[in-house]
Amino acid sequence: MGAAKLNNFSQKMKTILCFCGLLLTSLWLRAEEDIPLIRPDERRAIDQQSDEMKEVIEPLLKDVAKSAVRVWVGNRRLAYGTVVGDGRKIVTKWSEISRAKGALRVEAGGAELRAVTVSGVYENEDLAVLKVEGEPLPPVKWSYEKPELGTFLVAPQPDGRPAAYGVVSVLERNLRDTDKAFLGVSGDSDYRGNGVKLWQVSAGSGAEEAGLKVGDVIIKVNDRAISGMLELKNSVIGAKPGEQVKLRILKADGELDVNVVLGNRPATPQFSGQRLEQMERMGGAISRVRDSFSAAIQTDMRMQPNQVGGPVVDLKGGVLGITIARADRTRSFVMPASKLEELLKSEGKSPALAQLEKPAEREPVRSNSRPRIVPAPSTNEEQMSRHLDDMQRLMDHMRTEMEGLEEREKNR
Amino acid sequence: MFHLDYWQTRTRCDFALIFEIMKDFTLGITGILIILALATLQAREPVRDVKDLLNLESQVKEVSRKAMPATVALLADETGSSGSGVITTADGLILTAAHVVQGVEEVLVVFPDGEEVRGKVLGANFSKDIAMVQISKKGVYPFAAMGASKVLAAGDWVVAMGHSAGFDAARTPPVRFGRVVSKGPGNFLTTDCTLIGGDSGGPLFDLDGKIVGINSSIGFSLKNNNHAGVDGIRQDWDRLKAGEAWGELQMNPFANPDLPVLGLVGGTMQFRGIRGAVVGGVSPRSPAAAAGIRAGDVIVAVDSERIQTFKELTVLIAKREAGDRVKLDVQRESGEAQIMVTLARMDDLYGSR
Repeated sequence: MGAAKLNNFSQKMKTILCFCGLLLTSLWLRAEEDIPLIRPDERRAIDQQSDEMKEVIEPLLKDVAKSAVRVWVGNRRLAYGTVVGDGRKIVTKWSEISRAKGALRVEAGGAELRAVTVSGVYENEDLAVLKVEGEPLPPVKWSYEKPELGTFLVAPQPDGRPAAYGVVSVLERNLRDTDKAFLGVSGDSDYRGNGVKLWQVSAGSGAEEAGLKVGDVIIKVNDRAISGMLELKNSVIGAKPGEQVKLRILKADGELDVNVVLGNRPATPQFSGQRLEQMERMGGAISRVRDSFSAAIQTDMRMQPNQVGGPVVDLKGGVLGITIARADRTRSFVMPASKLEELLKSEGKSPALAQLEKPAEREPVRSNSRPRIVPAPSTNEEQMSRHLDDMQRLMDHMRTEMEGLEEREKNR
Repeated sequence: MFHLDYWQTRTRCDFALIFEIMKDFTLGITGILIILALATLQAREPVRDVKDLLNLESQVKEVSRKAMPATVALLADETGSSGSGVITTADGLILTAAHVVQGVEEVLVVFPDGEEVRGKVLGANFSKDIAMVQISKKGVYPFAAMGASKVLAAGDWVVAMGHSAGFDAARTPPVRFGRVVSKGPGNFLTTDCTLIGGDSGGPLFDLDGKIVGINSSIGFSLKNNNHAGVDGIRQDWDRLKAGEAWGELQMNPFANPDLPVLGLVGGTMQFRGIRGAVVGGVSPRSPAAAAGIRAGDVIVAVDSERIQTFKELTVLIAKREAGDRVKLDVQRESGEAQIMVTLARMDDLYGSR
């Protein structure tokens, strides 16, 4: 009897807590939306504009939305997926589904739920392939067109409405440091002449093998004049490890050309600084695995982490790839169609094996945990002052800024 | 590259002319006419169908392509700060944010391809968070011309750039597309082009690829990205170029010395049934006093926009700029009156605190 009562009580408590949680979350969401000092007419103007945009975009998504699915476990929405190949395969984001306990299902066409199993995992790209049971679903037809800077991108929801839209912020690139070419030198930041005066030559690097010494000055890379360390870095960005570059070197006794075989950049710990990290999260939840892809188009689309994995189209309806991460406040990544196709030619790892080796997470993240709840602002003034505090803090951040400097620090 | 020399000179001349006219006549009406003329040039781009959308896309692509080479990273050895800037003249004059060059005399200017040159920090107005840097090495640099910021309104499409999270040799400065969501306070404007540390000082462009703002700060919301308007830079041009540093970095718009004010005291009385701002008192020598506003007046509208409380009045005024003329609808015992008031700078009216 007592136990039943207690049970009943705890049920009630649960309901109440759940309700409070919902209430606080909705208040939190409202606070997130806030723009201080926005006038009602301005709010109306931008809301109306957003509606107009959605209305114009929606018809473009009619076809591709049929190939977009939502991946569920139980009653949780984990991610989006994209139907590929013969319609029995779905690609999705591995790190969003890897922790799921229970049977995975996908919701296609906005209605029926279909059972799926993980058939292959490509951990390095944080991609999983799901096998669909039963009738095939409509697959996407890839477009291999290379988008330009500023090309509009749209990610549909499975129900055909836009989940997010944005533009190409940065052209396709490899985000993985260890895939990048490595010369093996660092420059003297006090040096003010042309070129890069060497402060350090890494042991075992191509530069060391080619006989470069501390104090030498690199003035050209493959006939491109070099103004400093950052340009030197940029000059080998396009090259692959194993390739050779010709350096014009100024030594104490004159100039000479040397050929250097580029190596792989060693893995360096990604410490991006607490302040930047805080800013990255300003604006909502972000993906757990977000910056380790070997081919990614950077965009300013702002979908939720559980909306990642779906197709991305341009305004002509061409399917350019899938969303693969919501990386931070300003960045999302799209895995291009060509990369997906190349990947899918190889056999994925079995999920059981992949489970053992966890996806490369940068750090434990809160995207799965409850959002931080900010006390509900009761008056405009409070709202304002909270916002101002935020801005003040940020101002500090922006002022103190920023990493990327670590590199420069190291070069000293 | 970016050949806008002709346009550059013309725009500059036009503005010199505008300022002359304003000075000679000191008639707000001229300014208003000119602003109206500019406003019609800067008509908002509605998106009604796919054709409009494609047109918008091609403009964004064009801006990205043309304006990119002029978007530089600014690195300061002394403070370790890393921000962005935009070159606005062929000889290498850079616009940036005051907080990027705070406490710094020289910066490393880095082009999107990694090329480095040295730059000398000129002047800075901290209240507006704007500053100038001059590339030391003589040369012809890619640049973007300055547009106009006062004419922008909520819904105007814009493109932001900057070296997010510091210079990265592996990528060009990321393009962000969005629109103005709110004008003001003062010279600032808010867009939904998402910014992050490192973007500070970077440019905000209109769809003609002209600089309309300088990235300044962010709030929590994705829609809350703040930029200093380019018109504020034009106003301070000579002082900035001469290397003067003034103002204070102030994130609270109501404490900013540039805050536009009427010179009213109020807010203590809010009577039931009265919809409007009840004036409690008028500061001597203030714009409100000059316009004949008296204690007990009830201000019911600012530029025809209805207000319910004194706080709403304060917000609407804060969104304007010192020097702006506003029309107040005032109710008093003798009936209703419309009163024009020219807003003053808080610091000018109340002195430095």
